[in-house]
Amino acid sequence: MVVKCESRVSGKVMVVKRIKKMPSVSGDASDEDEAGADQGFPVRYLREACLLRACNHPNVMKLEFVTYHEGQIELFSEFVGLNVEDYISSLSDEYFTRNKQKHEWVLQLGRYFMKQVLKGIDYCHSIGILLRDVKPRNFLISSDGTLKLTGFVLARFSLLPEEPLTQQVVTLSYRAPEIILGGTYPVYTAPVDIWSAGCTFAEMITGRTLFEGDSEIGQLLKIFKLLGTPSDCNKSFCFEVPSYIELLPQWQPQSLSERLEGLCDEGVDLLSRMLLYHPCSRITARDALKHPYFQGDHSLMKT
Amino acid sequence: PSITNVELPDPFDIDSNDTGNQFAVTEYLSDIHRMLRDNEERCIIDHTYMNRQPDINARMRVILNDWLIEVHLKFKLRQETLYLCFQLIDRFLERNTVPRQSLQLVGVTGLMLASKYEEIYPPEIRDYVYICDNAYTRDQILKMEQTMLDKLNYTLSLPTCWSWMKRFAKAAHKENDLEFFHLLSY
Repeated sequence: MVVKCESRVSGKVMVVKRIKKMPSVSGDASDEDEAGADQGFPVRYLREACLLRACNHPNVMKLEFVTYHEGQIELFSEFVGLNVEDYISSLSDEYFTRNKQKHEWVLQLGRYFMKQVLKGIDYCHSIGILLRDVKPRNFLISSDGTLKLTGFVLARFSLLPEEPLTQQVVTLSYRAPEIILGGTYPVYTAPVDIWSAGCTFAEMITGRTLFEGDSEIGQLLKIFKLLGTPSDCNKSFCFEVPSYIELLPQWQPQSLSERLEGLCDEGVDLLSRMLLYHPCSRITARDALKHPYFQGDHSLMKT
Repeated sequence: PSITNVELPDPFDIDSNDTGNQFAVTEYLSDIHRMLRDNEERCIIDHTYMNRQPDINARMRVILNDWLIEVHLKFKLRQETLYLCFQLIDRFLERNTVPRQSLQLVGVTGLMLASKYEEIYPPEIRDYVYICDNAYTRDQILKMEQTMLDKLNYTLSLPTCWSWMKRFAKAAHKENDLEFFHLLSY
């Protein structure tokens, strides 16, 4: 439950996230005492609270403080009203097709927001945080147009993941192929956030989810349909992929600029670098910020 | 001892060999380690804190740590978890007076917090109750978790010995030398 509140001491308006504790999932069903028993501070929120506390950047949401009394957990953070998902759904189809001027405006805003998305991700990666849940809903827009990265429940501090991590991360539509193909314990790192950021980017420009699969395999098919089925998968992904991939239809890569109508060539180039199959050749957040797409003065003009 | 003020000279650029290795995130490594060095000062523990503890002493801490190593082994947890656990316990004991009979409670709760933070599948509370031979109840552990989180100010992401060990082993080009690592861990 999320509530808006105002501090009596500082007069600061904050958002309180009140966490209802979930019964333990891993609890052994045969053991009635333990199933659903209180496991203390939930793991996800423990990580969210600790990682947000470690962050200090204008594009990352500031967690003011945490209270934990009588089993009730509350996270207090700065107040930001709107998120990028709301923003995207507020754009009607008319913006994208009929009204040229408004379409231009959407493209400009897309660039303006994308730069901040990448700045937030760059910061997190530079302090060793892997986000694992980058998506429009997790970017809040403050009243002065600053984007704030949030949603750290799946994040973890992971410098050099020589050990496998869990597969159950990243909302399906934004999940990178190496996680889908990696089996039960895939090894992955920072590039998965860039893939998600690329999907977010496309969504801000077109107003539609780029890859909307209904299952893991469906997701993979959607990705291959647009970007082409890789001819040599082991080489494309640089690790052993499941053999079923051989059975998938062979698609040719489609033109990204057609899919992202109106986006300038630099933008399309950046997106294609963010959506490379090989995690290592995928552009990093830092290089993306140096991309020609962001060069020059793109501050928003008042209309 | 702090190495905070020592700038690693560039000839020791030990990461450039990793260029092209997808898991090394070469570009960010120097940033990450700078951040770890900056944060190191925040986790320096006053080694004399035991003198201020009226009811416990250094010997008990050693026994506690030995016991935690055994538990850690039995639960098959990650290395990081153990070192984080030690750090959390020391940081807590540095600032808070703990009676003798609660020392093990602090220890087991520290292990629980560290596992929650590091592990994919952390052990459950009943496992901790069992491992303490029912010396503490589930409620006591839950309550200690609250206290510890509060006192540690929700800061669990400070560098531990393990972060440095991995780094130094790499600098010595011994990262794949298991024997060297075991010796280092000792």
